[in-house]
Amino acid sequence: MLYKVMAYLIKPDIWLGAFFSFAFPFGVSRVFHWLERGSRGNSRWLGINPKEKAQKSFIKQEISQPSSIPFTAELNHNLQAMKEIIGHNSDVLFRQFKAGPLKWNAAVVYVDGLVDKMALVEQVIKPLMQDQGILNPQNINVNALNNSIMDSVVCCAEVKEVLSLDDCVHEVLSGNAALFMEGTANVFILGLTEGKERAIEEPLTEAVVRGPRDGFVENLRSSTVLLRRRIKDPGFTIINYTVGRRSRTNLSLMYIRGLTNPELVKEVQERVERIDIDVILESGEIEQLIEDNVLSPFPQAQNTERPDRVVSALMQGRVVLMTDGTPFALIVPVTFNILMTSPEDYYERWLPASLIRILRTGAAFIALFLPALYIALISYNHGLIPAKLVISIAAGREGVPFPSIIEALIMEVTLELLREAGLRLPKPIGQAVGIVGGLVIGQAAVQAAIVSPIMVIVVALTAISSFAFPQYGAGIAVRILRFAMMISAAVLGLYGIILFYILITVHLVKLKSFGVYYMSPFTPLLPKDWKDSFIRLPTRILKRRPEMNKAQDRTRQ
Amino acid sequence: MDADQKDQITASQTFMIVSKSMIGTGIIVLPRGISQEVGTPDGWISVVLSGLLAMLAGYMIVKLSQRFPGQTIYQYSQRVAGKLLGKALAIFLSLYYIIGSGYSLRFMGEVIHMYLLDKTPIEVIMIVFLSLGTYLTVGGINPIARLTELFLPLVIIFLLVLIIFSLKDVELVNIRPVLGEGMTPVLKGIKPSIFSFAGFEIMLIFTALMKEPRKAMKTVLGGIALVIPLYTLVVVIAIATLTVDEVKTLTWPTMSVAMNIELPGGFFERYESLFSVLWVISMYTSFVLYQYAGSLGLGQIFRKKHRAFTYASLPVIYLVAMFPSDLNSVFAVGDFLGKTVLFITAIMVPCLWVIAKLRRIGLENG
Repeated sequence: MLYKVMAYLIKPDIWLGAFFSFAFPFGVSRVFHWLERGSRGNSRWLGINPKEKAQKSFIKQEISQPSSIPFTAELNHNLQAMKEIIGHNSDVLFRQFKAGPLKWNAAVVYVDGLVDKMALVEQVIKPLMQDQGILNPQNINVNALNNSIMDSVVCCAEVKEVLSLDDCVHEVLSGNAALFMEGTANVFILGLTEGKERAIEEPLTEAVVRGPRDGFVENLRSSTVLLRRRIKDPGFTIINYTVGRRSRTNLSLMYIRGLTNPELVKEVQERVERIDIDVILESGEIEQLIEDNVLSPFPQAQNTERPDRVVSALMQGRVVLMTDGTPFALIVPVTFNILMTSPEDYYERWLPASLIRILRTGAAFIALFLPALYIALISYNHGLIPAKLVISIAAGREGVPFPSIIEALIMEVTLELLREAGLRLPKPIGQAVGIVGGLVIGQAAVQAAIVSPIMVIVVALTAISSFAFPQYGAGIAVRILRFAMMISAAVLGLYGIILFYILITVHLVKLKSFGVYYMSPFTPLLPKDWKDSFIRLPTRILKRRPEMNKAQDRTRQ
Repeated sequence: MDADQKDQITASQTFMIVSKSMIGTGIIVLPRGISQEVGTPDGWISVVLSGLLAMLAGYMIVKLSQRFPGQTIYQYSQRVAGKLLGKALAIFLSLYYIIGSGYSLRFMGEVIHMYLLDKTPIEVIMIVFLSLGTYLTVGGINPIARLTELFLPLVIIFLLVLIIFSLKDVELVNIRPVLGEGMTPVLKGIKPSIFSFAGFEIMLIFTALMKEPRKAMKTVLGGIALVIPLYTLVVVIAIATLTVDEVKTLTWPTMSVAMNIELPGGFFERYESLFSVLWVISMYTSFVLYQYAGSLGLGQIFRKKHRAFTYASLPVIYLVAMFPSDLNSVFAVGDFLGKTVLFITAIMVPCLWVIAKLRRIGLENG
C-alpha cells in the first residue's frame, strides 16, 4: 500500500494537476478580492472609506469659501458678500428697492428663470413698495417691523429665515428668492420656485395593458405629489437629503412609519449619508453607490417610473429613493422574485396573472439556456436529440463552415448590435434598422450558408423571450449571463451548462440586497411568501405582507 | 472562537442538509452492491433495515453532540478523550471528510466522463468542479445551507421523475419471492447498504451550528427517514426492471435504469445523459458539505478560519481523487470510506458518549 502511494506521488503530472486545482480557485478568488477592494477604495469621489472624511471637508471649503459666515445688519455689506460668490453670473439678479413710506432699503436676489417673476412682483415687491399702514415712521423699532413684514406685508406661501451666507446662496441657487432688509441680519427665503417641466405621461419603458397611465417626471416635487395623492396615511414619510457636492441634488427617502422595518430605513439612511460625489444626474448613480455587491451582474435595486409600483412597494414595507432631475425612483431591497413581477399581475385576476408569471419564468429560462443548449447538443451530445430532429438539423447545418459556438456568437452579437442600434436611433429609423437586420441579414446569412436556419430560430426565440422581462435591469443581467453560458457550453457541453447554472445559483444564494437575501422567499425558506411568487394567489388570500421585509404591521386585510 | 461560529442554520435547513449529505454517490451504485451481497431480490428489505440502524446511530450522534452545545466534535473530542487522543480523533475525522470529498469528486468525474464528455480529460472535469465547490465553501455554512434548501427539492423531484417514468418497465415477478431464502441474505445486505447512508454523521459538526439545538433529534431522524423510501424505491425499481442477476453485473445500475426510460413524445432521447447532468447538482451539494466539514475541522483544530484550510486542502483532495488507477480501485476507496463510517458511528461515537457520561463532562440531560 505504502509503496503504491509512493509510486503515485512521484508522478510529475499528478503534481501539475494538484497545482492547478489549487492555483485556479485561489487565483480567481484573489482577483475578485482585488477588484472588489479596488472598486471601493481607490476613487476619491466615493467617500465610503472613513479615512477620506478629512479630505472631504477640505474640498468643501474650496468650493464655497466663506462656509457659514453670518450676515451683518448692513444691507450693502450683505449684498456685497453675495455678489462675491454668485455675482459674476449673468442670470443672478439683484433688485434693490425702497419699501413703504419709510424708504427702507431692501433687495431681492434670485436666479432668472428659476423664480416666478409675476409672483415675486405681486406678492413681495409690490406690497413692500406700496405699503402705507405698517411700514410708516411711527413704528421705528427694527425688530418689530421685521416680524410684521412677514406677518402682514409679504403674502407668499412659503417663507423661512436663514442666518448664514452659505445657506442663503444654496437657497438662491435652488430657485428661491432671498429678501434682504437694511438693519437686520436675517434673510428671508421666499419659496417662489417655478420651473418649466414636462407633462405627466405614460412611462415608455413600463407599459401596461391595464393600470394607471401616469408616470413620474423630472421634477421631484411633482413626482412626490403623485404618491401623496395615492397614500393619505399620515405615516407616509418623506425625508429630504442633499447629495452631490456641486450639484446639491435633492434626494427624497420615503417609507411608511409604523410599517417599514426601522432597521431597513436606518441602513438606507446610513448608506445615503455616506454618498460623497460631485454630481448626481440620475438615480442609477445613487444605486451604484449604495448597492451591496459591485461585481454582481444582477441589479440590487429596482427602478421604476410608475407611481403605482412605488406605492405597492411602500406597502410591502420597502424603502423608496427619488432623485430630483430624473423620473426613475429606486426601490430597495429587491429580490429575484420581485424582478420577475409586473404591477399588472395584481390588477388582472389571479388566474391569468399566475399563468403569465409562469410564462415569464419559462421565458427567462429560454433566454438564458437556449443558445447554450443548442451549442452543447450540437457539438457534444447530439445523442440526446431525437434521431429525426438530428437529421433535419444536420441537413440545415450542411455547408455551414463554422463550429456551432461561432455560429451562435455571430447571430447573438448581430442581434445585440441591432437592438443597441435601434435603441439609439429615432423611432422610425430604428424600426427600419430592425426590419433590415431581422429580415434581410437573417435570410441572407442562411442563404450564404454562414448560419443554419435552426440557429435563426434559436436566436429569434431567445430575443423574444428576453423581451418578456418586466424589468430592464434583469433582462440585461440575463443577456450578460447568456453569453457566459454559451462559452461554458462550448467548452464543456451540458456539463458546462449545469456547472454555470450552479455558479449562478451559488452567487444568487450569497447575494444580499439591503439585508434581504436575493433568493427569498425560496431560500431562506419563507413558505408564507410563496403565495406571491411563481404564481399569484387570489387577492383575498394575500392577507399578509411579505415576511422577508420584516414589516412592523404584518396584516393587509 | 472564530467567525465561523457565528453562522447559524435553522432546523429546516439542518433537516435538508442531513438528507442531502446522504443522497450522493450511493444512489448510483447501491443496487449493485446490495444485489451482489444479497443474491435474492430482497435487497430493499436490507435498505429499510439499515436505514433504521442509521437512525439509531443518528440518535447516538445527536445525544452526544447535545451534551456540548455550541461545540463541534473537533472541539469537544479533546474535552472528552483527553488532549492527545482527542486531537488525533479530530484530525482523523477531518481527514475522513477530505478523503470523502476526494472520492465523490472522482466518482462524479467518472460518471461525467462515461456519459457526457468522453473526450475531455477527467482532470479538467474535476478541477472545474473543485473550483466551483470552493467558491461556495469559502462562504461558510449559511450559503451552503441556503443552496441545499434550493437544490434538495430539485434532486428529489428528478429522482421521483426517474422512478415514475421507469414504472412501466417494472415487472413484479423480478422482486418476488419476498424472503424466499429467509433472513440470512437480507442481513448480509446491511453492510453495503449502510455505507450508502453515510453522510448523516455530519451532524457531529452541524448540531453545534444550529440555531435551536433542541430540534437536532427531530431533524436528523426526519432527514434519514426522508432518504429511506427514496433509496428503497431506487433499489426496488432497479431490481424490478433489470432483475437481480443483471444488476449484479452493471457498473452504474441506476444509470442503466435511466437508459431504459423513454419520455412520451420522444422529446429527449438517452435520458441517462440528462440524468447524469442533473445528478451533478446532487453531487455538488454533498461534495460541498464534505469539503466544508473537512476544512472547518482543520480550522477548529488549529484555531484559524476555515477559509485558509479550504484552499490548502484543494491539492490534497485532488491527489486523493486521482489516486485510484481504475474504476475498481475507486469503488475500493468507497468501501474503505464505508468502513470508516462504520467505525465512526458504531465505535467512536458510543465510546465518546460513554466516556463523557462516566467523566460527567458536558450537560447531563443534554
